[in-house]
Amino acid sequence: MARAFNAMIEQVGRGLAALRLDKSTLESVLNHMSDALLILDPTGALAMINPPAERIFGAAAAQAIGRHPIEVFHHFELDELVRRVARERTAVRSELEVHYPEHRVLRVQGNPVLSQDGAFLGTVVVAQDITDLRRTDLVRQEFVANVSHELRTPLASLRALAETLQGGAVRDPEAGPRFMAHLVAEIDRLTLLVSDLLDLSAIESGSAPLRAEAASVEDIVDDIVAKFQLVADRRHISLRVEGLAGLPPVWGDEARLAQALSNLVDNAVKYSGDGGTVTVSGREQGDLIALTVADTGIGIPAEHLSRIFERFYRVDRSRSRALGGTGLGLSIVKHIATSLGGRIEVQSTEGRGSSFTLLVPRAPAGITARAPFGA
Amino acid sequence: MPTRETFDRDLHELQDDLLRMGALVEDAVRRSLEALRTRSETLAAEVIAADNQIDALHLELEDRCLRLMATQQPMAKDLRRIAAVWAMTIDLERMGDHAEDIARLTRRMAHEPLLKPLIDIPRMGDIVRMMLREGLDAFVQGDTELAERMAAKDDDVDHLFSQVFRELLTYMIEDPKSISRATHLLMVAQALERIGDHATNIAERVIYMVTGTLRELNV
Repeated sequence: MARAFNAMIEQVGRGLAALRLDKSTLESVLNHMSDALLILDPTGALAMINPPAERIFGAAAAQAIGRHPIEVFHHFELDELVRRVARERTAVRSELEVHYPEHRVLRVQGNPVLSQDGAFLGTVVVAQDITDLRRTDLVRQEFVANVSHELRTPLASLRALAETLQGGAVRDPEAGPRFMAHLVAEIDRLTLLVSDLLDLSAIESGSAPLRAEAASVEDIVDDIVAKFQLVADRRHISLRVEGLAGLPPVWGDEARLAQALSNLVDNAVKYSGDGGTVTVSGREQGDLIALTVADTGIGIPAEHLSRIFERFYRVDRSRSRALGGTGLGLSIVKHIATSLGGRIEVQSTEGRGSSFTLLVPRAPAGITARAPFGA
Repeated sequence: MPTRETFDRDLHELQDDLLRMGALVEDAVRRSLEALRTRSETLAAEVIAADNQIDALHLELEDRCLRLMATQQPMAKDLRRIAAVWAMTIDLERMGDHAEDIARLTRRMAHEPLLKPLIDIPRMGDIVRMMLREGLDAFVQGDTELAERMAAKDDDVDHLFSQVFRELLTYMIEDPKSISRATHLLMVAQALERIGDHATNIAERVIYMVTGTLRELNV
């Protein structure tokens, strides 16, 4: 008899221990899950709100318990959702926006809790934060809209030129070749745009894998200067290189780094007046190497500085078009900088010039740069 | 004879429905300013249409306040509470109308570029939206200190309104062609200033509900 009693006590003890474990496990789960959770009793009052819910809705659990959701969250659609769950005793799903304390988009589901005999015991609401997801969708939509807009202009030009030629200009010995030349120039412009777009897309999506290698800045810049020398000479722009000798190698995809620097030098030359100076310089800055491309050109007005790295952003659209710009150069530079683990900075004075500094990580000690492509 | 329990439940429901109306008004103010910022005629049209729901709630709540008073004959604190709710629905309805005004003005301005970047007007919008939220919180919690702190913010709203007025006046003097746009923006600022005043009224009603004294804040 005593043995049976002891056995029973042992069993109850184990049962209680298991319950305590379950309770603390439950608490742990509720506190550490990333989704917001609300539990309402059958009268519609809040019985529990977890930390993510406190954060998302800007409410403290201590003040919320016992109150109705509308009293705590002041959210009409959320209130409608929980009322519908209680009224129809069915799961309700919805996408809601929260505007306080911060703007967030939530995927919300409310479920009724029913006892075995169908009595209504309360409501459970789970909300998933999909703000970032929606933001990405928006960025993508905006990009597509931007691209369509940008393609429309050169295509319209092409059509106008072709129509003019069709209309008879093709037979005109003077105008004919001239219009043909315009046609070819527009096609080149379009090709460049598409090429930049593909580049940007590849960099942004990470589908073009980056090589991790030590790159010699001096060698890269020498190649770039050689590429732009002809154009610079024609406009009496002096291309200078300073402080690159003896710079430690940079850690990152050499081709991408070259592309970024090339875009910066291209801009510097484009927006420099005749007789100006473009200087490429470098220095160590802690763990980073700072590469600066400075020009004595028209400069960038202060109110545009924070936006120039946006896709297709132009300070002066007509000038940019005349100079053959796609509006993507700086965007590409920014993405390359980020993917190399660095950043891009700009300083500019209208009428005096601009200076763009690309900061990239230096190669770990002991790794030397290999010879650049084609060497 | 309805029981105390029924009365409590009816009163609680009345208050919750006031809060629902308050949430809709907050949405209206926010969306009307968003429509202005993005010059969206679609969003402006939605705000205008949604005001019907706010108006309907106002009438329904007034009716229920009247019924409760007639059928339950509440005394003292309960009577004050119902009277406060009644007065607040009127202020909320007016706030909703002003948000609708902003939306209508937005529609009129949608086809022209903005006269100037909007800075003070959105700031006014942020303050009055916060005031409304705090008013509703003060009502729920019976917090008279929160109500007074909220009402004090109306000074900031008035100050910003003067600033906007002066700035738009300069635009109008410098360039008569800008008068139309400047006047529209001035009317938007005026609507926000009135929303701030109504929020202050709500603070007064909360204090009345709790203390039994009705006094003017921000004289």
